[in-house]
Amino acid sequence: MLAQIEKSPPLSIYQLANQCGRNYRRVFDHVKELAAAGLVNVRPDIRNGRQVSIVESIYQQRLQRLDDMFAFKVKLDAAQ
Amino acid sequence: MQLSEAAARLLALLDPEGVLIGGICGAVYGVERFTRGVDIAADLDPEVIMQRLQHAGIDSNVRRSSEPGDLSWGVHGQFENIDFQVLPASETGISSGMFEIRAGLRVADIRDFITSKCIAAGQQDMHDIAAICLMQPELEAFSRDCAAHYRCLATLESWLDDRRLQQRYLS
Repeated sequence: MLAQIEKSPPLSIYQLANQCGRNYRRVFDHVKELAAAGLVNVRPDIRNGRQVSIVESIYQQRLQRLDDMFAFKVKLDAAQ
Repeated sequence: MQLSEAAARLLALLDPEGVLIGGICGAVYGVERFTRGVDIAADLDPEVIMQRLQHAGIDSNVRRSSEPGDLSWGVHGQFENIDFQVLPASETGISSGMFEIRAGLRVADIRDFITSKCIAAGQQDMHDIAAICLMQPELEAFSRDCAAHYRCLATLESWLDDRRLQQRYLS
C-alpha cells in the first residue's frame, strides 16, 4: 500500500481503497499506522463538497515544499 | 500554476519518453533547494518535442550546439510563465526505461540522476549529489566513481565535507 501511495499524486483514502481493491475500513486503519510511523501524511480536504482525508507520501510533501518556495519567490519578484 | 503541476503537464505531453531531471527530480529525492524551472530529458527529436508542445499551444525553440562539451540541442520555452527545457536523454546520462514514478511524476532513476549531475558538473549539481549521499550513504561510492569519471570529484568532496550540508542532511 505504501508503494501505491508513493507512486500516486495525493489521493483520498476512498480512492486508495478503490485502487487497492480493499475494504475502506482496513485501508483507513493501515493508513493511520503508516502516518503514526511518519511514512505518510494525512490531511483533511474538501472534495465535491464533502470532507475527505487526503493521503500524501513523503515525495508529495517534498514537492509541496518546492512549490511553496517557488510561489514565495514569484511573490517576492513581483513585489520588487 | 505550481511548479509540480507544470512538470506534470509537460511530462504528459512528452509521455512516455520524457523523465524529470534537475531541481524537481532532486526535490523528490530529498534535496531542499530552490529551483525556478522544469528540466526534462527525452529520447525524442527536438522537432517532435516542439511539435507536441505546439499542439498544446506552448511555444518553444531549439538551441543547437556543436561545441565540444555542450549538449547537441536543447528545447527551451515557457509554460504559464514557468521556464522549461527539454534535453537529450542520451547525452545527459539518462537511460530510457530507467525511471521511478513518484507522487504521480515520472522521475529519473536516482543513479541516472547522479550521472546527469556529474555530466553537468556545476557547484549546484555537486551540492545536490552530496545531499543525496548524506541522506543515502549507500550511493556515495557510486557517486564518487561517477564524479571521478567526469572529473568533478574534488568539487563533490568539498561539498561532502561541508559542515552546513552535513548538519542539514545527516540524520
